[in-house]
Amino acid sequence: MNKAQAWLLQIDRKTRVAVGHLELIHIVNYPEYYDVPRSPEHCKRVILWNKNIIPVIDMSMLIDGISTYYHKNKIAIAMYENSQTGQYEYGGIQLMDTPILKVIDNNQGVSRSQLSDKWRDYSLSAFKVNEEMIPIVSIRKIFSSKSVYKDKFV
Amino acid sequence: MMTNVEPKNILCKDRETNLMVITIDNNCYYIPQKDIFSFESVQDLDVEEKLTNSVGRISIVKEKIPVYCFSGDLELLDRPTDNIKICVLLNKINIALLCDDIRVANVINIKIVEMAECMKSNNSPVDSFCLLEGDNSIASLGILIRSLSIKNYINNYKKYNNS
Repeated sequence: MNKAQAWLLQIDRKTRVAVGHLELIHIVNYPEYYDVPRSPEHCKRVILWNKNIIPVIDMSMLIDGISTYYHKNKIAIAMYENSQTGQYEYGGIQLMDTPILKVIDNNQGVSRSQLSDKWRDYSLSAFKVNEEMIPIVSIRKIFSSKSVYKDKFV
Repeated sequence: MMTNVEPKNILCKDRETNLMVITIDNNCYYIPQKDIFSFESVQDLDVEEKLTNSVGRISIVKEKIPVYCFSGDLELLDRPTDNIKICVLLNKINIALLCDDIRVANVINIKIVEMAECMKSNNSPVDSFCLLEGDNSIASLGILIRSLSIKNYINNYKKYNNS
């Protein structure tokens, strides 16, 4: 039986998503945000980290259109390959809690087609923990493409 | 006309990274020096002659240039705010912008960083950041606007903001 490790990220009170264990680089607690005027609602803030400008995604806003920004005091810094430049870049995901490293079995796997439409666009596949469906999100899709769900600023 | 020009030299490699700081409603935006043609007095602003979304026109030589005014978060306003003191004529695009203040950016190192795709918007003049390092080696963030992106933003403003 094949196993793999994944980080579980609590993005709002109800929802957890997963990323590969090598994709998550660092956790920033109580970050200092910089607002960027006229950027999409789900990505309107950046932070400075190690002299890098990190765009910060509010995944609840991206998927459900509901901001839970004020309850989030952690940022998971993930690395991805920019699909246009081929360069490795960093992106931040707002979290409500500290990520948990979890070992996933093959038999927990769920087909991507079983995810709802809103998750399918940003996910590679999914798995189940008890009855909870957890999408494995594509960091690259999230950060290096314009929002699939257009908000009023896009 | 320039205010608060700071005496230190900027050590930059090219003209793209020679930056000015424009203050609009207490918000600072960085703009390449090469994108600025001149500064004019707001006294010369003719508010009677308006194009769509502009606040008036200013006469430069024999040309009448449309003048625009942004809020602090870069929304186009239909009339000048009270703090406006300077009219900045942007290079090559025949557009002027009102601002509270303009000065040379006083930084040692500037790195221009393109915005991640997920942050970009067709309805914004911002497409890049500047990572700034001053005397104390502490990095800080600036938001960069360029004359061409300002022109595109103004031209498309009605299309994306027809509320």
